[in-house]
Amino acid sequence: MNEKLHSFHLAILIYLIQTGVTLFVLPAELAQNFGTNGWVAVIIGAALVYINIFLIGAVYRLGRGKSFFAIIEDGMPPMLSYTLYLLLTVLWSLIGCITAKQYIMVYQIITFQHTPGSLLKLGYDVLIYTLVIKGIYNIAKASTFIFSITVFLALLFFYFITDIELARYTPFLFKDGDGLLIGIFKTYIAFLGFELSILFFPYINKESKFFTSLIIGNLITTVVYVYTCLIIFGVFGYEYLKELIFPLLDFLSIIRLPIIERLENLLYALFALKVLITSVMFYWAATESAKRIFRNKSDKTLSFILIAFSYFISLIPDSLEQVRNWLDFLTRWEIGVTLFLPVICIILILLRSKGRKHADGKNC
Amino acid sequence: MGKIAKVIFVPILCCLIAGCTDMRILEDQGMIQAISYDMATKDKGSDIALIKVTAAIPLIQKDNLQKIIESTATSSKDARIEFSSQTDLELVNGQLRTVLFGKNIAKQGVINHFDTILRDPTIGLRSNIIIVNGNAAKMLAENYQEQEPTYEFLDRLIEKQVDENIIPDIDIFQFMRDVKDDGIDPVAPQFIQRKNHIDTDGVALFRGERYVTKIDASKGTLFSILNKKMINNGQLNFDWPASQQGDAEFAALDINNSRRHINVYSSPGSNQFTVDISIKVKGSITEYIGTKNLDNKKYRDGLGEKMAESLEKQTQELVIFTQKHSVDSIGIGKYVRNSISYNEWKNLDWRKVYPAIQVHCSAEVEIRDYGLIH
Repeated sequence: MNEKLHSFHLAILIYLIQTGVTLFVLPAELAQNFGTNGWVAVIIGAALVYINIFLIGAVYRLGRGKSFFAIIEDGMPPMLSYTLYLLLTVLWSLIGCITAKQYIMVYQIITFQHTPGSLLKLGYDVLIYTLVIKGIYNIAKASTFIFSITVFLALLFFYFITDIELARYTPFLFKDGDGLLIGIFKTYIAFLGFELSILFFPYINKESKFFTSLIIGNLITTVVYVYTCLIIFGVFGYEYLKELIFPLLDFLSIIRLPIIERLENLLYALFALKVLITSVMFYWAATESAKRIFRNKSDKTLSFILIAFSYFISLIPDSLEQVRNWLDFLTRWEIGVTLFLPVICIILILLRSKGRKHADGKNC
Repeated sequence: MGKIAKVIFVPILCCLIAGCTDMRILEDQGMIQAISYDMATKDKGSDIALIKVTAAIPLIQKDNLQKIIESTATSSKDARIEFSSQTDLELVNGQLRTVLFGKNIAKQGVINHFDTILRDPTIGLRSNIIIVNGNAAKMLAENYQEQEPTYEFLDRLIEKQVDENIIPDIDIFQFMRDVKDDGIDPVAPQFIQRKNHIDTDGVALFRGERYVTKIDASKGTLFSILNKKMINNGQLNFDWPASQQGDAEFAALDINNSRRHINVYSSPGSNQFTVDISIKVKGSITEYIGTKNLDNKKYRDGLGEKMAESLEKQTQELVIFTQKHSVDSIGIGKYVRNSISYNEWKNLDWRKVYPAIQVHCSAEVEIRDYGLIH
């Protein structure tokens, strides 16, 4: 427990939890929901996320670094807190699982079309398990390594600089879109993952610069999203984007380098690592939560049970659309959790300090 | 197992195991390199229009370098099913380089035939699209080079012509993007089969997804100058017949770079637009046939001005040609769209307005050098 998360690791970890398969669909969703210059909406989404990050930062400051579970257990009756933990365990392990499933299913569109998805998912889950049991510090270190090998992707996009035509952006903002509200909702979903940072309190100290790291982590995600969507809008044009499901896949497929082309096959495989961190962190969070209910069980056993349990559940949705519907449903709940957890924590802390003051006043 | 052995062994094992499933044995694959679509002749008494689809796959035989499989069906999907029954190879699309459309089928619209191509994730969006003035299947089936299959020859021909800006560089992705964009009409290179060779026929112009007309190959570079913001290669030929002003002259200009700017002027509330297209070309004289001595500065300057004048006239004619056929192949619509409000653009029937707008082309020619002689 001596080791604490470094601020650099923390920022990278936040970025990697947030990004994943979403980046492949985000430009198309922006074009469908916002229409012209939909990429600007990423900034709106990021701004909303910052409000949420402020709430988490407030919990950390008000609670003076007290762990999330301690805050809940101090202020809530045990039955209520156990119910909340159960809900969080199920939700987080399912999000970790279905995110991985979505990745595998998209992967099957380009390669291994005829291999059973369940087999691929099983292999992926083994990978998830081996990383989850290593604990948060090692996950953070692995994510720094993964970041260093995936970040060069952004440089590849310079290939398109000559393909971008300013006239294609149009001077109109958010015209010809299907719905701003649903669009903002979906853009917000693209940033999900940062909320797990509420569980990091016991693993950080002052040098971790928790709040700054969160802001930087989310900033990296915002920059990567804006940069990618900006280029994709300039190359494809919003009208064509509306027709595509995975524009980033198409985008990568049109890169033609002197010695290699059809890079999407290679690069999508690299995204396995990004999605791995997302899944691993959700499982880690689920394990942390489950640990509070089953205190006598080891981390390894709990992670194993959760991964195995959710693996069988992941066999139920068997088309990409079903997986998407499941994810839609789960992320709706997750948005609720993202808002609810910091708010309830702040209320509990305030109530408790008020109660203490009251008690102190009485004692005087 | 030692740590190092693990580090080496595990990745190797992963790579090898990946090959155990979804096996693709190279010798068993029929890699479609080119695919063509034509209108087939209708059956007597039938109203259903049939299409003829052919595919070229590589063959390693002494006298034949490509195998052509063809099928006639109601849709491209049906045709593909029939394909597989004609060969013992497993047909795969990952290597598809060129999609050919016969002019007749292109006139009916090409989007339907793209469905399979766009849906198939193995097909790269960088596959070329070309229009064949005549029978595409026939052109693809013939051999033109002794040691090179037609699909490969065609691929190299397209690449070379694109490099020289004689034809536009159009792949599936660019074509589809322009079909979807309401401010531009797509174009595609057009080829024709001659007796012993394939020839560039020009630039095919589309109205939406339908083929309308073509620009002659001799004006291909001129079209590239108008269509692209900037080009860095190509050749322009200027021919001045003898007249009262002087003797006949001919000059060839090797383009170093050419830039195009489009400005739109509109009067608010009306559909009256004036478009200024200004072109700046910088190049080297590679050929001059005439009586003037280019040693003389006055004649040299005069030649640049004459070229600019001729360029203005030719580009103006090209724009008028597109207006006459109501095809905005240059993409002026994108600039008009960006000069007005969203509602104005949506209420504007650009297809109807385009032929009537005033377009004015102006050109500047800067001659970098005159070669090694005066």
